[in-house]
Amino acid sequence: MFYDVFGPSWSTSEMERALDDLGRWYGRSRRGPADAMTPLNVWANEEAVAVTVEVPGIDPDSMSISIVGDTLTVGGKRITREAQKVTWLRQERGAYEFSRTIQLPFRVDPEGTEARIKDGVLTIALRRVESDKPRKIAVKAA
Amino acid sequence: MNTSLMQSERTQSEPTRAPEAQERPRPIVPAVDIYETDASVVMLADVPGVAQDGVEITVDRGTLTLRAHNGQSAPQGFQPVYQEYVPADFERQFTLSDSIDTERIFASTKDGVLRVELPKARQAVPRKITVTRG
Repeated sequence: MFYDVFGPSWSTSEMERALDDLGRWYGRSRRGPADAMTPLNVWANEEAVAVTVEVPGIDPDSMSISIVGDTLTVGGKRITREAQKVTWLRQERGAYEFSRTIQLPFRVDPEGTEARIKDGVLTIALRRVESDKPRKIAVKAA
Repeated sequence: MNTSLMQSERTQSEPTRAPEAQERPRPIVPAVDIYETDASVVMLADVPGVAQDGVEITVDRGTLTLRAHNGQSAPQGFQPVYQEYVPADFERQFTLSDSIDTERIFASTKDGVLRVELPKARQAVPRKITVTRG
């Protein structure tokens, strides 16, 4: 009878909705590992790739960005510095450290990389390696 | 038989959100820290993408509503390749105690973190009374 536990009592959509509600309830604190709470988006065109990472409260000085071939690694740390003599009423944020490694759609030139942070959102712009760019081959009539 | 299968599939793949809600994502409930000092209650909220002027705080009958506009936009000239998050506005409500002086609430943002300072009303601030020997 144990398989009843895994029975189809919950449809996918019900489960998704429940998880969604849970996520909304906890907001961004639906956080298991620290890396899961640092979401990123990847954007690209033919010449470059852009990565945006949500890093609220992370000290820009603690951030590290490294590129090897087509692999990008971003890391950072959030430290909480609050006065000692306080009474906590709610704690959902807290200090954490993250490190994310992603594979980019193509090889990039580390020299042509720019990173800036605005309102807790890190944007990294990476230029595609020149030799890796798509080339147009002209077809000649024989 | 085929019909019932189709129906069950359709039920399964039914979107959990209304189409109009997907175009404009539902507000996110931001994670907050709240602590109390002798003089005030301080609230910190994670609101990545929110600038100082994108914050709106209203107090109505003891309920504080926090709304923050997410100013994140897609990088121009780029196509999305991989997405882990959809930028959405932030919204959360709190019930205030009577001891908060709603006239002096102060909010600021820094690095995507909103800080709201809620000073306690004067009579709510504990005073030290020195007991003198008579």
